[in-house]
Amino acid sequence: MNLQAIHNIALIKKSNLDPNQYTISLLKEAFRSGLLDKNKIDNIQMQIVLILKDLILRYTKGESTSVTTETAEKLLNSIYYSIDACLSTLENPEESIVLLKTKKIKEIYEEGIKIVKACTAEAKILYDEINACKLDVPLEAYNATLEAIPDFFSNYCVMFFAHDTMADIDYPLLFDNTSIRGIFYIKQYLEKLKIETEFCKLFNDIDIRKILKNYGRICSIDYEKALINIFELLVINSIFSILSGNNGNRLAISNFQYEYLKNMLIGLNTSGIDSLVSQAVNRMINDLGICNPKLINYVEKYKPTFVTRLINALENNSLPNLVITDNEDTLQNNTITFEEGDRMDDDSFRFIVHRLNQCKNTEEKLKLISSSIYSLQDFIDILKSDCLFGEEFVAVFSTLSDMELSVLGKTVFWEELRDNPLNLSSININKKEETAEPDWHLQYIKFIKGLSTDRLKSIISIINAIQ
Amino acid sequence: MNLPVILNSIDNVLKEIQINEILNINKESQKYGLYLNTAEVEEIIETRNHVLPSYGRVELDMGVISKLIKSLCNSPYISQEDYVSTLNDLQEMFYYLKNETEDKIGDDELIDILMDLFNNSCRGAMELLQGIIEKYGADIRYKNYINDYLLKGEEY
Repeated sequence: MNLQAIHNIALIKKSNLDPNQYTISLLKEAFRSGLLDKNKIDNIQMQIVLILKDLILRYTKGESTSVTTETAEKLLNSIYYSIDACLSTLENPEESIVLLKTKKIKEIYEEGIKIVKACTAEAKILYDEINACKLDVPLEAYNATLEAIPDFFSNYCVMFFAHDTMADIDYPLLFDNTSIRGIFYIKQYLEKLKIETEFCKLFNDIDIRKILKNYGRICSIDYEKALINIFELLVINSIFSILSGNNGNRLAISNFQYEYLKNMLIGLNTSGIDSLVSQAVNRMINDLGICNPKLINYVEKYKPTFVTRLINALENNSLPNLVITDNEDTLQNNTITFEEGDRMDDDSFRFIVHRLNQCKNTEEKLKLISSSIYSLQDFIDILKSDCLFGEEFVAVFSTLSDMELSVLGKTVFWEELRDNPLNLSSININKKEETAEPDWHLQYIKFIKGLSTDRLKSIISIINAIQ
Repeated sequence: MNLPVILNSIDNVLKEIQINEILNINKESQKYGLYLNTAEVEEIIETRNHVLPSYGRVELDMGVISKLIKSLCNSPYISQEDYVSTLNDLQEMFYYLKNETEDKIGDDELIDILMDLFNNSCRGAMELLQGIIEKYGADIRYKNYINDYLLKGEEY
């Protein structure tokens, strides 16, 4: 290779190459850099015109030598699509130019058709795999897209319209590349849908449907008709679930956990949030047992987007729109019935108490409590178990919603509530403070004394409503 | 992907091939006393190159004009005098009909229809043929309109 050739190679600017019109842009670039002269380019185009001539005859089944300009241009697009398919498989543009110089265009075109046909076969297999384990969700876009793809395969014509992407694909992916066309677009869509489906299948359909329903409630939309990406919803809630002390396979986030989450995130700077999210993502991958490197990369690719969304939500006070909480404990008809969850067995409880006493700081204790304690009685037992001290009670009570504080209040003020509903004037909090036992009652009273009058009134009204 | 641009860039190369292709037909047409010289062939190709885009069509070989020449040269109503002008008019009528029939009739059949009208109904009178072709095109358009209307009615 001489110096001129080496110099010419350096002149090919990849930024000038259009992946959707690869051959044409390559010819232009090659001409510009002097790698191909006009005679050669004319010769290449002549060969392509001869291919088009044959294709017109095939298209009209030998009945006609002319077609409308629109049809001819579509056929030409199809020819270039197949030539692009062949040239794009080469390592670099320089190799493509060598091939254009040394091989007949018809051979390159026929090689390209084989590649397009192979891609079609691979895409069909991908579709069958996805369809075999599709999610059972009432999302119109998701189901309609899966129903439409077989029609695409039935109608797709490699010979005449290889570049066409005539398919009703409405379901939005997280990272869809809509700049490409034809079967290559369909294949990349299915590859990514497969990755997303693999992740979504790590959760059960009931939990997914619940998340969708709650999402619709939060955003006030008909979720069945909305263009929602299920993968994104599940990743977000899984990460938040971990941050609020759960395992990654739990999607449900209670109001209690939301408050804890909010308090943890507010005040963190960008790098703090980034670090927290990175740890949560690693934990999620671990908890869910994700081993597929493609899925891991996919999740990692989403991480920066998620961090940005989280930071924006915190800045704009719209975190409730990002965290999909379970809506199980709302006031209805002015009466509430609190359902106690299953209590822990004694050994498990003792283990939690032991772990709490090993915790280095309040934050660790909070995380442990929120991830391990689910029933009211277990929670009260923890409050009684001498593993929380002083300000730690404040920290725990601060994470509770009005509802949870009211439930505890029902226990603290049971004597006052025996005969009459509670009200601000009937509670002599100072007198109660003097006689409160056990210690957590005293801590509770001290805590609610510090609340605003409005909030205290709200808690009292809930206490009175609980049965 | 501009087809006219691509065709323009290789126009000179194509033209030479096209001229030779038509000149070769002289071997057959000469038996009927009909002959095209190079200038006349160039004129016919020029007409074709003008007519095709005006009817929004693309043709990459000389198939139609070749068939027209071969069909016309044994007509009792053609002479050397009006050979070129008749061929030019027939080209235009052919591509007009191709559009009006929405490509549903093949080249050979359409040329047969044209020559049948030229020889039998019009006896070589081009103006008469022009009128019949336009009426024929309108009839086909009307029939297609009715068929489309009925088809849509069935869909509903």
